[in-house]
Amino acid sequence: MIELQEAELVSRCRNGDDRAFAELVSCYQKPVYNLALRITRSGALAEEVTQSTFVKVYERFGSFKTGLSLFSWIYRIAMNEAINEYRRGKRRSSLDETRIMSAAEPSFELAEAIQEALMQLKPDDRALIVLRHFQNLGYREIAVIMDRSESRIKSQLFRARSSLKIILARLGVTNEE
Amino acid sequence: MQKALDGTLTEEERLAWQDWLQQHPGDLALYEEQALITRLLEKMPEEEPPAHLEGQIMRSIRNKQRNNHSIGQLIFQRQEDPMAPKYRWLLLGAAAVVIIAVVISRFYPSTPDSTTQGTIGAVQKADKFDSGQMSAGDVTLTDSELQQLLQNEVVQRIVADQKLMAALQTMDSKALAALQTLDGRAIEALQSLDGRAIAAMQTLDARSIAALQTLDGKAIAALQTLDAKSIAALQTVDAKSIPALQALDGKAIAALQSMDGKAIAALQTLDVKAIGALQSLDARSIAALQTVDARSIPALQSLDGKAIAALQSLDARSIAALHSLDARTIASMQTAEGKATVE
Repeated sequence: MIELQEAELVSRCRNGDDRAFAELVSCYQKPVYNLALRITRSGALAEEVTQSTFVKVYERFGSFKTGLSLFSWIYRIAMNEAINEYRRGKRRSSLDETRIMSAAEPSFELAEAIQEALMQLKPDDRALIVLRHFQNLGYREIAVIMDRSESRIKSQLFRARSSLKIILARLGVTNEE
Repeated sequence: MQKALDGTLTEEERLAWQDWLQQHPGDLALYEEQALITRLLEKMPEEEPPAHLEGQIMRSIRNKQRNNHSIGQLIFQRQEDPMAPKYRWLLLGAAAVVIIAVVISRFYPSTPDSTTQGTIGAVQKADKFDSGQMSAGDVTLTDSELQQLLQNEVVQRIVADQKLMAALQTMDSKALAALQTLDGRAIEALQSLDGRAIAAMQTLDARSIAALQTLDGKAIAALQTLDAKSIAALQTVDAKSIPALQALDGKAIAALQSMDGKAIAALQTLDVKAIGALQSLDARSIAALQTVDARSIPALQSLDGKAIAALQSLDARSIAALHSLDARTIASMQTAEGKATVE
């Protein structure tokens, strides 16, 4: 979404325009849901996180600074919501009824192992991996979302990937096959 | 290395990086490890959110927009968890009424008002409903909201019930004004609404609703076992009776279900201790009591405080003796004068 459109959307939302907020939800619900899904590994929790994220966005619009990226701001709320939800320990250890991967997908087992490995990372590292590799965000954007410097984000990401590699090896995944 | 992993190296940088890796096998291993993980992560597919999620989010947002004077909030402010069983039952009925009203406003002959838009709660002042009959503009929704509502299984069931729909068309202005204050949260509660709850809720009046707000979870569970006849009888119960009712167990509820309005009125004079004594009655005693006729009721009503106190002092033995009274004895006692009954 280009900045002008985003600024207009923010302005309309602040003026209580329900349709504008519906546009915002429509635009961001998928990435927010996926972020939550990767962090919580639960479809039900991801739904809860997505819902609570947008409720908080609605409640806190007054505190949003126009100079910032709306996208980053929403992601920061979503990431915190997802990590908090995960830490509350709801269904931490097992998959729920919502699939993470379709069994029909060829790389199902591999993807399942990756998700399993992700869940063994610290929530903070997991969020970083998700933002970078699943949401394809730039370092600068991630730095804004996680409220850290870019260099710190890069080094943390490096360490997180190394940890992931070790966990994957423990799970028997040693290559891309 | 980061730029190499991100694929953002220039051609010159890429060549330099390859040279570096050839000379530093340790870095090569590290790079390959990071590259492998990066490629693996990139293979992870993105999931589509559930189709209902967007609507669910918007309903949550609308709930936030409600003002502070809705029936829902009056209910919610009594307890931290707004969807606790204690109040959920009430909300289910409230939701049903809202939905039915919306459906009527759209589908009955007086509906062709193209200016309808807004939300359920954002309706006009109560004096708009002077006619006493619902019209299209009374409760309104946007097209997308309406579509979602109509897809709801419960709504479809309600619409299909012609008797219920006809009855709802007779809603008066007071009921319509009350509808304006309903909280949108009730809509969400609809998901778990069953036909029995709808039917029971239809029979409740404002007085009963107020009384029900004082009930706890146990009482709600017991009430859910009541049939339509019992609900009608309960509508005569006043606030004083509620604490006593809360002490009733399943057996007592079953006995109550066999009582008529007159008996309920008599019960309203009982205190908690008396209720306790009643709970000790077995099926035989209940059956005997059911043989008490209209003549005996005035006699019982003439009992003074002293007599009531005496009855309340009956011990288990005496209660057991009373249990042994058969229908014939009861019948003969009913032929005696009221004062004799007391003695």
